[in-house]
Amino acid sequence: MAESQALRWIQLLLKCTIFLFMTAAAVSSRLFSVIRFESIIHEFDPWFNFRATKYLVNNGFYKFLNWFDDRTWYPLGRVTGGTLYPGLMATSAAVWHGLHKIGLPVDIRNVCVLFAPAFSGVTAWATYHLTCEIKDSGAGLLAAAFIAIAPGYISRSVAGSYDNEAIAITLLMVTFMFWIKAMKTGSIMHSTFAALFYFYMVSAWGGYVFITNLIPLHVFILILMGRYSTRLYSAYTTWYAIGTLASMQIPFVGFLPIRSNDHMAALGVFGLIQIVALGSFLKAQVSWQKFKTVMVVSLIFLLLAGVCGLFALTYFGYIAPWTGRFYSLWDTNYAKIHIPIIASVSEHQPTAWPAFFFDTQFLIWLFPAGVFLLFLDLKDEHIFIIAYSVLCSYFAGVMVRLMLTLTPIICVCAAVTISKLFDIYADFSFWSDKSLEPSDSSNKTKIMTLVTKLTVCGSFLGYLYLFVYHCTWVTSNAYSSPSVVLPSRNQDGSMALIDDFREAYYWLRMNSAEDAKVASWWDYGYQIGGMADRTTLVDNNTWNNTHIAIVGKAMSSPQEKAYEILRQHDVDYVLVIFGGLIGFSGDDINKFLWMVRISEGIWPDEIKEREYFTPSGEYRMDALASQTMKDSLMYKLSYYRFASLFNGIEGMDRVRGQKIRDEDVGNLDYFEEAFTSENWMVRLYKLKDLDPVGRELHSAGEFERKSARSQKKRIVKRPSLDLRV
Amino acid sequence: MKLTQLTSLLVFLYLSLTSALSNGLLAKEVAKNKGTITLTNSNYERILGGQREAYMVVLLTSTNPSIGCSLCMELEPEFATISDSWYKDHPSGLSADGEHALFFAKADFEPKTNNEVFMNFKVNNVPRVLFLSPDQDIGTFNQINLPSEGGITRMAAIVHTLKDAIGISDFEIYQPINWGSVSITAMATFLVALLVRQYKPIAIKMLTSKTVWGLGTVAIIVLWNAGYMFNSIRGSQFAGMTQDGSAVVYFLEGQQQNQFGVETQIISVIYGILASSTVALIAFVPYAKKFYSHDKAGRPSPSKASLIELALTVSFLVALYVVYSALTAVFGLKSSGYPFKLFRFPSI
Repeated sequence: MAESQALRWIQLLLKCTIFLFMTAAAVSSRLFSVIRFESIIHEFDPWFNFRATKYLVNNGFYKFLNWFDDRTWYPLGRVTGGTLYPGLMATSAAVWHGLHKIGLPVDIRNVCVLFAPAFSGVTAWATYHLTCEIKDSGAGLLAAAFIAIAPGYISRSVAGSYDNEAIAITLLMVTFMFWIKAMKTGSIMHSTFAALFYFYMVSAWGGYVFITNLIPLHVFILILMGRYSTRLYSAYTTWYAIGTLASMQIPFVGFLPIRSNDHMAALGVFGLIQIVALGSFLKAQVSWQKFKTVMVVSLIFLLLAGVCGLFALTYFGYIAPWTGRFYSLWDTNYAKIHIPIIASVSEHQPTAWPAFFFDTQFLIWLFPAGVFLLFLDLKDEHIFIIAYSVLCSYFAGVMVRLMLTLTPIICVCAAVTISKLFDIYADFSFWSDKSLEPSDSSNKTKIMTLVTKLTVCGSFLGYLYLFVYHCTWVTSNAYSSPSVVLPSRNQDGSMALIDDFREAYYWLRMNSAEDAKVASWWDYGYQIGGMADRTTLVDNNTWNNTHIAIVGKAMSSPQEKAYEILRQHDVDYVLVIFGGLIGFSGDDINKFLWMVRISEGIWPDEIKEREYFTPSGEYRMDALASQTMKDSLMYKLSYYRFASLFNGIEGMDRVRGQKIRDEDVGNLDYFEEAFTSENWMVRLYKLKDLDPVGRELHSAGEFERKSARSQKKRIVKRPSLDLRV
Repeated sequence: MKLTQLTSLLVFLYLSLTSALSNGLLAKEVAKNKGTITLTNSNYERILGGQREAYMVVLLTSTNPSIGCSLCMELEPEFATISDSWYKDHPSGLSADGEHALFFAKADFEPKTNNEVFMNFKVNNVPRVLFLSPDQDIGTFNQINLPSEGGITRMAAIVHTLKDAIGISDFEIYQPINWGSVSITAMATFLVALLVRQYKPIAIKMLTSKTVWGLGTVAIIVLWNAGYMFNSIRGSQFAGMTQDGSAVVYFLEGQQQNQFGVETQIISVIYGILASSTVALIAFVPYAKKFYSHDKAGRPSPSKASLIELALTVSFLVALYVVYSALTAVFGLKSSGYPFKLFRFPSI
């Protein structure tokens, strides 16, 4: 008795130690970016989240919920409080307040930067408990270790990547863990917890719809397989009732759960389970023959009524049809034709196979093995894992960003496989088996078995070892760049940082009027708002396609027309990103076609994509470029004065590998260059004021150029100033 | 007097033969060819030249397999679909408002019969889709861009361009129904239904068998994880050619975001072997050991069982190792600078 007690303590101690190390590994592998660069918020969306968090900390929760932001989407503004998922900001604000309460005055920026790594530890813990329910604690520990370092999850949770997904994956796993527990035991407490964490998830990420559909799907499959039980009934009805009511408290979600097609599956299964419950009650009361007819007739009737009702309600507009983003998951051509703005985002591209291997290495082939092994047992909870695997494999194939939701389940299934393997081959108890009398032949048997087990364990330990190296390599090489600061190398190979973005944003912050309006392509809206604190026309929220198209139209029009459009919107500065000098390929010229396409969608008579190509259909910037291209504002702003860096006649664009002639770029009469960053990556132009004499700006420019040419250049001789000591 | 009349008649006849055809005659030409006019050395000047009232879309292509133009092959059915769709709605070639006429023509390169067409347009490489406005002479024309993504995307883009350029709105694409596949599906369904009826107990056993469902699910997962959706969305090329066209390329080297169709097949086979070897280690090896733990007479034979276990395990492990090293090697091709290799080939 005492021995087993001691054993349990040792187990607990071991588990705690393992968890401690796992969390340390999870956190430290996410810190590459902080160590290499600095504690800085990454990318684009996190800048908005960071700005919102600062607002929340400074103004309190109620003001935050009612926040109307007049500094974006000028002149429309954005009802920010009602159109964001507040879970992330609320959590980090709570952490910040908590730290202050216990006397740790940490900066809110550091809370935000280190938020994702900290939550990855919680994800590992939740994955452990989920996998414990699927198999046992051995598999659980493996799964937790996998999720802690799998690059597929790290890609969205490195330090500084302060995005909704950072907390959402944690909540996803916690919700699923409680759901499995609830559905196994029928415990109302567990399903209430599942509902509460579902609510938390709804408040944090739009991807909550995945849970909304996956849990009903699980229940539906169980019912189809004839595995209905009262445990399932109490778990599902509790979860649905509490979860739905709670989720409707989020302003951005509101009445969607009863009015949108994305949520109808959950409602339908809720209805179905009531009928099934009634049916199973009746089955106990009447004879089997009678019951069969009643069941068949009523099932057909209900199914028809339900489907017809859904169609009718959608048709008459009581229920919103599928939202474009979700619809494009099923009909993969839909977005390309109807919503170019969704298709334009690089995260929404389909996934090629190397991405799967890159993000999960050898787990990707253990994953199908694990799914198959689960099929051999096929308990109720295994069906959940299988449904999750199939759905997410599809989603991850359609959209790169959904790799993120697939990674946890890959880790769970792979852990099940490895742990089953080790259950068999890491069991060395046969060595001390006394049942066989010692003899030559039994010794030979023992040695052969030992060799078998050792080779299996050895080779799989080797693969695990390689996996750790792979994960570290991927994390450090691919996922640890803040993309605000870019790493590069000097001539001698030492590390250099390209910090043009912050340089330009800081210039804007210090040198422009506080209410200056900046027009740029939407990608940089959040960064301008966050770092430069200036009003923007469009940003990454992309809620108003027309407004984005206006900016696109200005960029693709000739300068006098663009000037007019921008004037109408009170714009003071235009910002373009130009990578031609240092070879930064993610610049505005490469995104330019999307601007043309999006504005063509609104003004098909004025903007025509075809005109931006050369007659032979190429996308060129050099002398062969089409006249429309050379006239466009984007071309002029990007290449203005570019040739002066070279010989004054033509400059070499390193991204496109083409020579840009100065005569093609021409003069800027309506804009003046305000600032160009060190490596020319960010170029800022100010709109010229109207001419004081009332001339057209173009003719004023012509006049000045003519008079400058006729005048002799006045040579100013500088007075020689010596230092007077 | 008579002489002048005769001359004028002759001149008129000559003109009508050489100069362009009117819309009606073009429509007849189209009807004869069921949608697309085929251009030859003898007829192209008559059809495209002179005073035309119609817009013309001309496809210059070469589907001859010896030339090996894969884009031409891809474009062939797409162009046919577009011109057939137009012909279906507008047999006379006129748009609904009767203002604009549009006809499709095509020349598939053959040195003897239509080389002059290609020379006339100074085409050096195929395929080219040309667009001729009514006011334009045979020498001046525009080119229509061909997006690299095939299938419905490209067709939609071409139709969109045409709609814009001509100023018409009634141009719908009708995808032809593939009757072959429909009939095959119908036959297969019928056969399956028949078999199910005939062998009901077996069918029920199959339908409720965990292994069948498991294998099916796992196959789908493996396929999706090997980038199947990428191919079906992007319509990627099946395999590529080297620059000089001497050898077939199976992998797009150094491109992590892109792949050929054949890569999915190779990778899914690799994943399949790896996963099944692992499952075999877990499920099959213990089963085999148990099976051989007693010989035929029922006496225990532990040493034989252990030997078989050892042999099976080692062979599965070797298979795993070999295939996994192949996978890392292939991934090394795709991701330049990937430092890990399971097996280093001796330098050749």
